[in-house]
Order: sequence, then C-alpha cells, then structure tokens
Amino acid sequence: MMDTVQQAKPETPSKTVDRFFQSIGWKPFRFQRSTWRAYRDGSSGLVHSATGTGKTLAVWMGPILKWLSENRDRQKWQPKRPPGLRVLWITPLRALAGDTEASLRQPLDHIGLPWKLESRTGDSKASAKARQLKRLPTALITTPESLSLMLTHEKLLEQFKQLEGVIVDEWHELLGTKRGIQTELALSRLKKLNPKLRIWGLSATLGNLEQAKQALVGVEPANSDNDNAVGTDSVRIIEGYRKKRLHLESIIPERMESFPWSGHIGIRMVPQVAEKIESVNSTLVFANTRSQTEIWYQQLLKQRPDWAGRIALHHGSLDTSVRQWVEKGLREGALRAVVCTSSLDLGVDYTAVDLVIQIGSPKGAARLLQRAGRSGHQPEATSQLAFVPTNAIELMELAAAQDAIRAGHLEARPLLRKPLDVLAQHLVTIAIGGGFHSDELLREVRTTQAYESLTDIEWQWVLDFVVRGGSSLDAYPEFKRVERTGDFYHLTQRRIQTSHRMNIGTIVSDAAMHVKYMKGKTLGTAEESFLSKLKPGEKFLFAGRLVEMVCVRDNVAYVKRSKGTPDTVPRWMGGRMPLSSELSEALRHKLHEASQQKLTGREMKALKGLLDIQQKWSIIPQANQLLIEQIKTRTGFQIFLFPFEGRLVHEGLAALIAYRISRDRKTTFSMACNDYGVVLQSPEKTEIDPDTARSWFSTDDLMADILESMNCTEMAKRQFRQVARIAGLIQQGLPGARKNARQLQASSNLFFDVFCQYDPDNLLLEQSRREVLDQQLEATRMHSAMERINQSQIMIKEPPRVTPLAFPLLVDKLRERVSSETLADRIARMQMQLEAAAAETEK
Amino acid sequence: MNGAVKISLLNYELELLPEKGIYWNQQHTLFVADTHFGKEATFRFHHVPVPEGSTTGTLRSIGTMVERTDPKTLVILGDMFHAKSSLSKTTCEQLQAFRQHHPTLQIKLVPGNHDRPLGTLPTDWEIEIIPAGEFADGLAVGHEPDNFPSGAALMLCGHLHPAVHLKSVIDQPGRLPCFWWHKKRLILPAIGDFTGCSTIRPTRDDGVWVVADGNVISYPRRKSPKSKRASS
Repeated sequence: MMDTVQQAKPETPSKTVDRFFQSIGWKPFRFQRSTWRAYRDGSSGLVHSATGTGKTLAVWMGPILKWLSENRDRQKWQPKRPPGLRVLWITPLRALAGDTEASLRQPLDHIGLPWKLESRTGDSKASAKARQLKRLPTALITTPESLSLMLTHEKLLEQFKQLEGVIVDEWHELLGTKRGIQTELALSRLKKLNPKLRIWGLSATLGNLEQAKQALVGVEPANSDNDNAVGTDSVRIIEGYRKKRLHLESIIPERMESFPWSGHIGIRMVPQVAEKIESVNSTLVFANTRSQTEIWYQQLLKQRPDWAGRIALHHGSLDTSVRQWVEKGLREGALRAVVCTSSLDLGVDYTAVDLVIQIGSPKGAARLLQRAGRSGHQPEATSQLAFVPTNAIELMELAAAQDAIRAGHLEARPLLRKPLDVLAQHLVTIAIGGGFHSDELLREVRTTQAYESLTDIEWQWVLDFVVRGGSSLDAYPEFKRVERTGDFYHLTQRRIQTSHRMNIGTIVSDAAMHVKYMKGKTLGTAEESFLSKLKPGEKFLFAGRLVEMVCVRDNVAYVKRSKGTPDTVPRWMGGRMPLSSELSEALRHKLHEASQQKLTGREMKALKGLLDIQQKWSIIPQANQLLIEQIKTRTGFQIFLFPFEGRLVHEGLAALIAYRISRDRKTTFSMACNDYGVVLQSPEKTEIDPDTARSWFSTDDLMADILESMNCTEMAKRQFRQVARIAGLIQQGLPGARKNARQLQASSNLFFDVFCQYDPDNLLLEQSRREVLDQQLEATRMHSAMERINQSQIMIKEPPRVTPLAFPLLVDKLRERVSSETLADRIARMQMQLEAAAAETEK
Repeated sequence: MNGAVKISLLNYELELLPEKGIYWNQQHTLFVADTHFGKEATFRFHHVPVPEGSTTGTLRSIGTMVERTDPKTLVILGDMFHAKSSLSKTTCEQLQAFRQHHPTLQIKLVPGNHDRPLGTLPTDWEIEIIPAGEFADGLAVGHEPDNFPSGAALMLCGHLHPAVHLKSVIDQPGRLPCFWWHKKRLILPAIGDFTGCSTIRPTRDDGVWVVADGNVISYPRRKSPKSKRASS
C-alpha cells in the first residue's frame, strides 16, 4: 500500500487491481476482465450469473480501473479533495445500501483511492442529504426513488453531467415493475445530460436477457441525430461464472398416507426439517409468506428449545434494527438457521450459509435456482437446496421444477407497457427539476424501452393530466399543478413541490401501523386492517414472540410479552405469485407421465397412493386432456376445472366462464382458484356436456368477454388504487396540513367511481384495465391456454367424493363472484335461506 | 312504487327513498344527510385532479326526490359542504341553479362537523340554519348521532355514512349503503355522490334497509322473536 508510493515508476492499474484480488484470496475471472475492458471502451451492458460469483467486483472495478489509468501518479492523489461525482450505484432495497457500501469500500480502502463513497436513501440523515446537494461524492449508492427525488433538484443537474457510469444492482428485481420503469425514466434523463454515460446492470439469469438489457440501456430514437450516443451495438451481455453445482432434494413426509392433501403451512414437517438443519452449520429457511415464517420459527423453537437465540426470523415487516442484527449474525455464521421470506432473496452474500430450505411451492424454476444459490457461496462450492412440501401435491411441483431446470426452461420477466401513471409522476418530477419543453422531453422519454411506442395522443393526455387535470377542458376547473408558459412546462409552487417530493415512488403499501412494546421498543409493522380488529388482550405471534395487544394509540399498536397460545397470526398482504408457465407446463407433463403409470423421481413415487385415488375416483388428466369434475357438497353445486395454468390465468378463466354461463341463465357463481385449477360454486346445478364446456373456452369475442366479466369482479377497481397513488391522486400526507389531510381522504374505489361516471375517457382508467389484463389475468397467457384447451379432449367426471386434486380448491376461501341476477334477487334469496334456517332450528 | 319503502317507527310514518333520502309526509318534509357538496373542488384546490360532476349528481338525486314527493321543506342533516374550499365558483353556480329551479322550497341545514369552518352561506340561497333538536311532533334532527335531545321520541341524523356488508355462505353481494335504525336514531346513508361509507355492525334490535340498484330493501337476517321493529 503506502510503500508502493515511493516506487519510481507507478504500478499499472491492472496490477493494482490484481494485488487487491490477491489480498482477498481470489484471482479475477475471465468474465470480470471482459467487463472491465468493456467499461474501459465505453460500452454499457448487463452481467448475469448466479449469486455469489463475483458480479459486484466485475462492474465495480471498471470505473476504478478507468480512474486509475487516468490518474497514474499517486503523488497527485488528494484524499482531502476527492473527485466529483463519477459513479452512481442503484440498489433496489434501501436496507441493502449499508452492506453494499461496505463491500464497495473494501477495494477503495485497499488501493487507497481518494474517492468519497456515500449512500443516499430514504434512511439517510437530513444533514448528509443537504451536504450532498451542494457536492455529490465520487460514488453514490442510492435507490430508484432517491434518484428520482434528486432529479427534482435543478442544481444537481450540472453534477450529473459529469457522471461517467451508472450501475444498477439486482436489475432482475426491478425489471417488469413500475420501479423498473421509474429507473428507466431516470436513466433516460441522465443519458440526456451525458450522452456517453455507461449503464451497467447486474442480474440473475433470466429467460429474457435481451429484453432486460434493452430496458436497462434504452433504445435509440428512430432518427437519432446524436452521433455521440452509445450505439446499441456496443452494449454487451456478459455471462458470469456458470459452473456452479447444484443439489436439489425433497424432504418426503415419513408417513405419506397421512400427509394432508391441502394446506400451506406444513408444520407436520417440522421434526424432519429440524434434523436437516442440525446436519449442517448454517441454514436459510425460505417460506412464501410472512405469517408462515412466524409460525415456522415458533414451531422450530418448540421442537428444539435449546436453539433459542441461535435461530432467528427475518421478514420485511420487522424493525430495521432486528433485521440488521439477523443479517450480521448470518454474515458471521453465528446463527444456525434463519427463517425468512423473499426479504433475504436480495442482498450481499452470506458465505456461511451451507443449506437452503424452501418451504412450500417455489412457483418458478428461476426463483428456485436463485434461492439455491444463496448457499455454497464460494464459486467452487455446491449449492444445496432441500424442498419441504406443505401439502402432498406440492411434491409434484418440485419434480416439475427439477425437469424445467434440467431442460434450461427458465422464466422470463414480462415487461410492462408504457404505464401512464409513472410517466405522469416523472413529468411532474422534471417540471420541478428545471422544467421541460414538450418535444424535447417526449424524445427523451421515447428512448426508454417502456415508452418507445408512446403515441402523441398518449403524451398529450399525460401533459394535460399534469397541467389541467385531464383532457376535458371544463371538467377540472380551478385545478393547478404543472404550469405552462408557451411550450415550457415547469412547477414553481413550493407547496406542490414539497408534496410531490413526499409522494415520489411507485411502491404502494397498505396502511401499516407500528407495533411497539409499552416501554417503547419497536418490533415492526403490521397492517392496520389486521391490528384494528384485535381486542385488547388478544395474543398474536409477531417478530418471533408471543405478544398481546394492549391498546392502539396515535397509529401505534402497543403490545406486551405474553404467555400461552396465540389467538392469531398477522396476515400481511402481498402479491401472491402464480406458478410460472414453464413450471405449469412441466407439471402437466408430470401428470401425463403419471397417467401412463410412469412415476419418475422420489417425489412422484411418494405420490403413488394419492395418484391412485385420483385415478380411481376420477382420472389423472393427460397433457392433451382437460379434466372437469362435478360434485354436490353442503354449500352448493361445485364445478372443478383443471387447466394447470397458474393462479392468475385461472382467476381470469373463472370469471370468464362464470360470466359466459350466467349470460345464458340467471345465476350467481362464487369462485376460487389455485395454481392447478378453478372451482365454480352455484346454488343450482349446471348441466355440462363436452360441447358446452368447449364453448366456455372459445376465443371468439374473448377480449370483450374478459372486459365484461372483469367489470363484474371489480378487479380494475383494485388495480386503480396503485395507479391513483402513483399518478398523484392519492397523496400520502401533506406537509404542515394535518387538517387538510382529513379533507382529502377518499378511497381509490371512490375515485374510480367518480372517474367512470364523470370522466370516463380518463386514460388512467384505461391503464388500470390494461394492467388487470396484462398482469393480473396474464391475458396473453390466458389466450394461449384457451387455445391449448380448445385442442384438448374434455373429460367430465362426477366423482363419488372430492378428489385429491379438487380438495385444496374446496377448502380455499371463495373470493370472487359473478352474477347475472339483480341485487334484489340475491338479497331475497339470502333472506329466504335465513328464514329456512330459522325454521329449521325452531323445530 | 319506485323502489321506496314505507315504514312506521314509533308511529311515525316515514318513506325511505332509493335516492337515499327520507320523506315525512305528515310534515311535507324531505330529509337528506351528508351531501358533501364541492368535495371534488376541494380536491382540485389541493392539486388533486378530480373531475366535475358529483355535486350536480347529488343535486340531481335531490331534485328527483323533490319532484316525486313535492315537499315544502328540505332538511339537510349536516355536512352540506365538504370544506371551505368546496365553495368554489363552480360549486356555487351549481347550487344557485338548483335554488332557481326550486324557488319555493324551504331549505334548512343542521350544521355538521364539516360545515362549522364555513362561515356564512350566500344569502340568496335562502338556507335557514337550524340547531340540532326537536324538529316537529317529537321528531328530532341532528348531524351526529350522539347527544340525543331529551324529550324527543326519535332522531333523524347522518354523519356515519352507514353501509352493511352482505354475505352468506353461498353469496356475497358486497357493501351497500343503508338506513340504520339504532337506539331511537334513524341514521341516513350519505347522499353525496363522492362520499365513502363505513361498515356498521347492527345488533339484533336494530333495523337496516339497504339501498341497492334503485331499491330500498329490508336487510336480510334472522328476525329475533322479540324484535320491536316495524316494517312495511
């Protein structure tokens, strides 16, 4: 280090970097060197590989090497006067900023680089932020939200012009989300400020890397007059170290015949899982929901009381300090096991972890691979993953996932199409941060992949929306946001500026309440809707403890430690992921094999008994068959359909089929869906023959029918909540105006109704409907599923009892409803039933 | 008869209208609650783009009821306007138009919590401010259901924006605004077009009538044998 300063001839930059690698006991991989070269040559690109294979250093050393080659003379380095802004590092999670900072600092310190490295996120101190507004550090770690916020400060634009490179970490997490689009828009702005900007992304391996790359670096405008711009041909996709070995296995229940057919907690497996955890040093236990982690943590402690303090819990609703403690324990190898949700999917590498346990369906092959990669972190080590089924049929999913991984069928991350809510937010951001000319900004926005095909009409609508509220001239009197002077758009009113800054972002969370001990320690957050229903004294599991509700005051739920058994476990809302189409297809294939008496793999062999029952009572559907089962139960007449296309497609199908049946006959359907199929319940029997059933899957008038059935299920209304929030209709708190905040409360449902009635052409409504089609119903996937089913043989069965495939659907709660009856009819029927029930009890 | 329901509560004959108002024939009076006029203007004033239309929509509902029942008096049971900023030029014009269309109608307002910061209303609207308390013949009016006037037999009020969640094993029509008869109070659903509602949990002794698809319908549930509820 310092001794080299005295050398007559300065060391070459690559030697300096090699020496750093030696110090950590590594040698640069070939992919790392090619990334450095590409960066040096001014290229942008995407580096993808499994976690823990040196991606961070691959992109981070590029800017360092470049600076070193420009500043070879160490004598001239001035640690007290660090260079101005050069590199921006975007991380998807602000909780990761600290860890990222530590790992980026390592080479800086070793080399003795006079760079200043800092973070700027929602967690940063106000004083640090104010200082940064004057002068940004050499390298800044930030989040998409904080980056957008910085764009509202006009005085930062000069500094952004000097920016040399932007690195987006965990790009696969942002891709296909509105946060990703927010990032694309911010990048387009930075690229405008410096056309030679290098943009690099780090990503897990995906099925659509080419699209992922394009979304990151943007697209060339059709008639570009800017020769300096980075051409798309100089954009690289670099694959990281790939010879990572993987060992996948399932933990098969000891007594398969008594293992339940449905459920999603799987606590029967606790003893076997505890044994597995015991066999290694450090384990990550992934569960699919936060409440599941709470339950599993308790159950593991009950099974092995001596593990108290040596196992921990980690999920997104826990207090930051708790999470940080757990992460530290993981890094140091001090914890035997951590039960977590996807909250630990991201983040720096935990080298100590040598086993990953996945509880319940992984939903996708890529996700399973990614999680497995959390163990065996040295590039040469083997990743170990054990899968724990929570019900019998889930074993099939792992069998299917193994097939998909073996065949290399990894999921693609579907992209979003030009969401106007995010664009509206961006326009206001830019209007505050220096203003814009319409044509210029439109050209800039169209360089993003998301808005490449934005039409002039859509652009004009968004402009109108931020200027006068909507396209209609007289529907929004007295409304003001962005001001227009000729062709120049800007926003100068301080109050609006402040409230916009407070509302930047695309993450929409439910109203959350802090959960605190009486003495003041914060445990975390839970949804208001859950906490407000608890009575004082009611006990619930939270943050791995049993606590009881004391009172709710000032939007804080106060609790104290409690003993006994919990009355409830908090439920946190969260997107429930559908089974991917790759995995669904593999699953249908597995069933097809089973229908041919071919059971391959331990998982399928373990399912023999259950599959025999299915075959006996009904059939096991072949890949070219659609199974329909009809049965009467206590609550009504049930129709089960098994397309095996993933939950979202099934939700759409359920609404569509219910709509199509109820169009011909006045009735009301209640529906439930899972990844395997659909159940439709009605008060009367529906007669089905193969021709009728086939007509339900007809693709004629499909879009019109979907839209019609969707109105019934009000999905668009729910989606509108997010759209309204991002577009600035629903604001989260206005500065210094507590009283006004109450006047401005209106639910998104109410907004939706008012818009439908008084401004039906509002494109935000249109967007919500489209988002429902694209994301919630996966309309494209639905269409191809229906075409597939149209070619299938339709098998209608009336089994004597509810079959193993149908059982999980039956016990699922019925959610959606489609009805062609009037409300009055439905209420009258409810009344009749109640009276009948009353007469029954009086007898 | 146009989806309305006639009920008799403690010998008061009242008509529950599907436009969410109550007509009391004996006094030729129409009651509505929580109009929240100009709420959309308040949102726009705070830079949230909500389109015009809900105030005129609400006025149209009231107009429909006025035409059908031909009352002498219209009583607004509080929260006539949403906030001070609701009295925008546009809102005022809309109310002016309503006034001109019904020049002989007496309009009375029992001020609600949202009305307090408003100051005085334009005098040419001829709106008489009346206090909460007995209105006529032992029937009291108020905004908030609290403070039941002593000596009154029954009180009409608003404020809560009541709705019930309809749900049974086989069907779930969802949340519907309702009239709620609870402890000698008859609480009206909010008539304002741009207002939300809050779900109530009626007890066995309560009466509930939901407003659905242009009909007022008695809330379906098991009748308790001792129910004092009178129904149509």
